[in-house]
Amino acid sequence: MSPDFEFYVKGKKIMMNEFVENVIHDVIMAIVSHLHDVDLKTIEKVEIS
Amino acid sequence: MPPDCYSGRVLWIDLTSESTREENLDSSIYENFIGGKGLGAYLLYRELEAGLDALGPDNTLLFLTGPLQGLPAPNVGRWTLVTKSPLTGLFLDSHSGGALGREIKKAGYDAVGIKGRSKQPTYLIIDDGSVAFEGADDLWGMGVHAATRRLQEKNAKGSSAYVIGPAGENQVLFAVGCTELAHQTGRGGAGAVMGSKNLKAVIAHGTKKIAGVDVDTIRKINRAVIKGWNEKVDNGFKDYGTAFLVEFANNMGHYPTRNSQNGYFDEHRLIDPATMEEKWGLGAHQSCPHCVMRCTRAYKIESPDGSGAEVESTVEYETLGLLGGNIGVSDPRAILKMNYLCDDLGLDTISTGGSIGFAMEAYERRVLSDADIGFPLRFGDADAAIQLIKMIANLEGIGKTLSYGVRAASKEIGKGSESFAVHVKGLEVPAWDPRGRKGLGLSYATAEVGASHLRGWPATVDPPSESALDVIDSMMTARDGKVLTDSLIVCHFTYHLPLSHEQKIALLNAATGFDYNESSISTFAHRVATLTRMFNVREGISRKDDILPERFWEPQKDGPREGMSAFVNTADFEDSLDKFYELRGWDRNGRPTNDTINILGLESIL
Repeated sequence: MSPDFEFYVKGKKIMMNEFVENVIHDVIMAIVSHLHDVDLKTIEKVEIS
Repeated sequence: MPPDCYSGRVLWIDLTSESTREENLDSSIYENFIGGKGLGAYLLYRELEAGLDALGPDNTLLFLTGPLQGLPAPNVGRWTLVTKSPLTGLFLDSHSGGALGREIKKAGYDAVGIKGRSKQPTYLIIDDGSVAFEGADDLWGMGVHAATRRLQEKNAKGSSAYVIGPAGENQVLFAVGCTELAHQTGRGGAGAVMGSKNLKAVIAHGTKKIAGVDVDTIRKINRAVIKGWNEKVDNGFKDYGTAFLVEFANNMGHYPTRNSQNGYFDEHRLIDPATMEEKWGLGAHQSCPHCVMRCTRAYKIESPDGSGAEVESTVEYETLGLLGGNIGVSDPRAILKMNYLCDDLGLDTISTGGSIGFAMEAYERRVLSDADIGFPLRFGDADAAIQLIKMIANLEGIGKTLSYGVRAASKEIGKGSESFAVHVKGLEVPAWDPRGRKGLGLSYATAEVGASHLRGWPATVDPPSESALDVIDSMMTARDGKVLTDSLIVCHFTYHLPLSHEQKIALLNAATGFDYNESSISTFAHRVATLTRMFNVREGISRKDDILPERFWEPQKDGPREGMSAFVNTADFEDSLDKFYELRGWDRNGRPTNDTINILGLESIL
């Protein structure tokens, strides 16, 4: 995941401090890390709609 | 051996000789003083001699953690700074959000004590048991925001930085330091002590794992309070952070207005948190780590440097009071701007607002003239206030006089200005006018740091229209609760979760394996309060100093507390003070008795 990924909830951008950014990064990576055929390092946007 | 949630060690750093040493602390010290404020009171009393210059090299800055930092407990992303205050000359404990406490503990220490004075600007990096003394010439003179960002870029990911601004460097007596851009050690001038030591910043980082005796119980309590919080709806604090308090305080006659001439501001509706959130709100991303309440709200403003850049102002209720109504300003944009400026320069917004309010009243009473100030300084003039903030931080003109706080400034200015210098023991009064609530004035008069709003309130919302004697017990209980909160270094706002007193004791026992109950916690709080009192007694404090400023003996002019002063009369205040001393086991002059000292096990320390 890109270190400066953006996080959106229902279209609204969520500002994050470093701590929250790290937590979300780790949680998302834990969920999607099995997707070996996807370039996970380039994820720039996480969206919950 | 102390329990595993502690490191068992204090790191001592001497800036003069650029040397360090470690001290192992006995388990009994942790049992008696727990951490944070309690441990800081023990170490400061032991290390300092009476009467030393708070801005001299012998003063000690103590950076403290507690038993819960680094554990999965609620709202413990905080740390404590203890030192001798240059503003009051007395004991100072100040508590800040941020990960510094967790990182200090993960680096292997429960506390870091800093003494001496560097020959040139310096910052410290404490990283897993090693200490680096780094030159800070390139950071000196830089605002808090730019300096913090530069240090964050240079240092290990996950490290935490505490940084001062130009006000601290210039030793403004109410200068603050700031943790991670948005969390200040707000009161009493710890930033000036940093500046006096040529110390721009302290950075901590560690990798040690922190263990607790019963982590399952800690997690259980954490889950319970988070569930309670998530179920809350229509809650002002949840929706807007502390900004929601403006209307509440105003409706209770607490809101400071025009140098506390009144507790009701007729323009308060213009300082509306919903409008602020809608127009300029950016989110709660600057809130403390590990916190679900997310009360630190950031608002978008144009930088006060005139560059046109957008910056984030993280304003709190206290600032909306002191740089709002207290200086007659009702434009939230102006308050946000002043707040950002104070944060960047490293000024306590409460004391800054108190000092500007004092100067504005002096100007309107013609005690100060245009020539004294350099420009007109009327209540409501935000541009003039902004100019004065810069002058205070840079010690320019009247700004230098105000940089010593209103107690010293009124002595220098004279002409009767002492009568409207609103402080207790030199600390400017926060945004809760004590004429709004029965007995609140006694909390200000007796708090060891001076007028603080975080030292326990009486359990009442009644106005001070009758004797306060029946609420002094409850104020004492609340104060004891605050001593526990500040020794665990849990957030004061946890009553919103809610996190109960009993749950705090359970967290302490689960982390340490100690067997505290309500009664022994009360004794603990009594011990810490008596030790901090003895620190102040050693500095010359007695009953004559446990007083309220003249302003709060003047009746409020209008609003919900019209006609009321802080107590029904001076006899009721003196009776309340007698009762407070009696409950603490102190004599009629406010000095702890030998019996009290012995019962609390303090005789070997004092």
